[in-house]
Amino acid sequence: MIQIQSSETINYLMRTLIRVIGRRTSENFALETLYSAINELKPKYDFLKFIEIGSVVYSAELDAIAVKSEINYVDPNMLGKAINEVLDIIARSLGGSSDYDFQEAEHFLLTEVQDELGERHNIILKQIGINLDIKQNQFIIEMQEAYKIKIKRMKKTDVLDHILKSIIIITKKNHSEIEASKILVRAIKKYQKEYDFLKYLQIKEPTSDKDPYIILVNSEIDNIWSAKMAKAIQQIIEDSGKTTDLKALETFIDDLKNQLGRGDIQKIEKIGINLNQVHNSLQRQKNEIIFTKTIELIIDTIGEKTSIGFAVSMIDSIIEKLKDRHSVLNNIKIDKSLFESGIKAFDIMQEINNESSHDLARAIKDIMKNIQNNFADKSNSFIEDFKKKAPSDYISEIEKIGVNLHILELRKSLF
Amino acid sequence: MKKIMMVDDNIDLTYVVKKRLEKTNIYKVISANSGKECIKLLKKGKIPDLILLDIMMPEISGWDTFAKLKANDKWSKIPIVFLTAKTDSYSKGYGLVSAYDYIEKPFEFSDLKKRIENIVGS
Repeated sequence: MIQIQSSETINYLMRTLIRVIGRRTSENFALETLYSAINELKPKYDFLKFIEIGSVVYSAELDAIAVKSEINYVDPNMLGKAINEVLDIIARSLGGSSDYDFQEAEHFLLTEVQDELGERHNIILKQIGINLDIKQNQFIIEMQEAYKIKIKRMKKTDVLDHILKSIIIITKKNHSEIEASKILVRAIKKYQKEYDFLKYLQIKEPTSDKDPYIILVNSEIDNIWSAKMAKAIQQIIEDSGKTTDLKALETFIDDLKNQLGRGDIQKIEKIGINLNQVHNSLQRQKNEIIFTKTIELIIDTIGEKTSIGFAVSMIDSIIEKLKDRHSVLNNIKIDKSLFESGIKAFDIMQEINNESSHDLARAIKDIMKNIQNNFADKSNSFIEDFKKKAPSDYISEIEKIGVNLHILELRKSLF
Repeated sequence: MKKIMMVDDNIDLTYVVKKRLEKTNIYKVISANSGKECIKLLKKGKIPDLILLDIMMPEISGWDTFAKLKANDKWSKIPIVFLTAKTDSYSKGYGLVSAYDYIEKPFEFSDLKKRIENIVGS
């Protein structure tokens, strides 16, 4: 049997483990973890008695740990096997500690231990069959599996319920509670065709015109959670964000994060919902949002004096007429069977965001001119009414892209 | 003969317009007393060359009737002329964006005839 002078290295390894684990938890916790791991294995590997842990009360000089020289006479293979198992027990117990964030835990332990041991001790450990590189990789794989199981077991019902309630709270800043609930319901219904599992977000119809919709999260969600589900929720958040006013759009996700709080934000990220991705996506969708808002305001303005159905049919005929002149309008589809449902009749395709904002502005101006043209009376005009309804942030946003309502009014008064 | 459908809840007016237009031997007038009846007749296949549409009607307004007609591919191309007592600039302004013409009540029969001729011919 080859004799390896391993006592010094094992001693150093034990002390390093205490130091590294102690930095992230507490030194007492570190010592106790090591103590229990060795005690657990003593019946199997008698020679572990040569590693003495005198007290679970940590002393600054680490005098609680002593590795007797007899360990040098233990079969190196058996010693390596035992120490490997000690490391496994420690790693598992850290992985299960609620104080540990997995992303941190997966990397720090063996990497830091290896770094602090230095080359000489690492070589000796390898000689007795302890390869910290390989162990680290195994550990990462194990932890990832454990993490997946943990996520699978995590209760998503409460988190989802909090997301939906928070969306309504934020949307309420610009809309009534009833309207805010309608906006969310619209977004959920929009994706229900694509994602069957959204049926587990149960929509309770209001009992009267004065009540909002109520959305209940069915606990079945916990059993069917998947990356696809996370994507669907992201899309619902995004669609809800699009309905806020343009100024609020910039802060929608930040507001949502504030509403959710740090704890739930972390949970949300862990179950695969990426709020930063939603924020970036919302920023890229300004054309779509501006156009949708424009159409909503036109419907509202005309619908008030005629009917919603008539307003939509009018916009439909104008868009159809202008499509040859403005290719940007090819990104708009109008469902004739939904004329009377207002904005719901419009499918504004995401591709509109790839068009230049100047082209969009030209199309909007032409739509407005077409509506305004038949007003003989200068004092009662569509533009005047439209302006009264439009929020100031919307007006400043369309002015930025080149739609100046005042100029449109002046133009009309010249003829 | 050109077929004109007149949609108006004022039965007396419909009667008078029908008589006067049919007297020219150019037009055949189909009467509908409501937007609902208009849709019912169209569904039965009575497709006119032009629709004279009142706005202020019970149940379904002229605006909504207009939207229903435009939503149906079989009827969306039928020229529609609003014939209404709504004389405010908004109704006229918006009506003229989509409809072929907008005639205010009361009207001169000769003027109505002329404006129908402009659309469907004589």
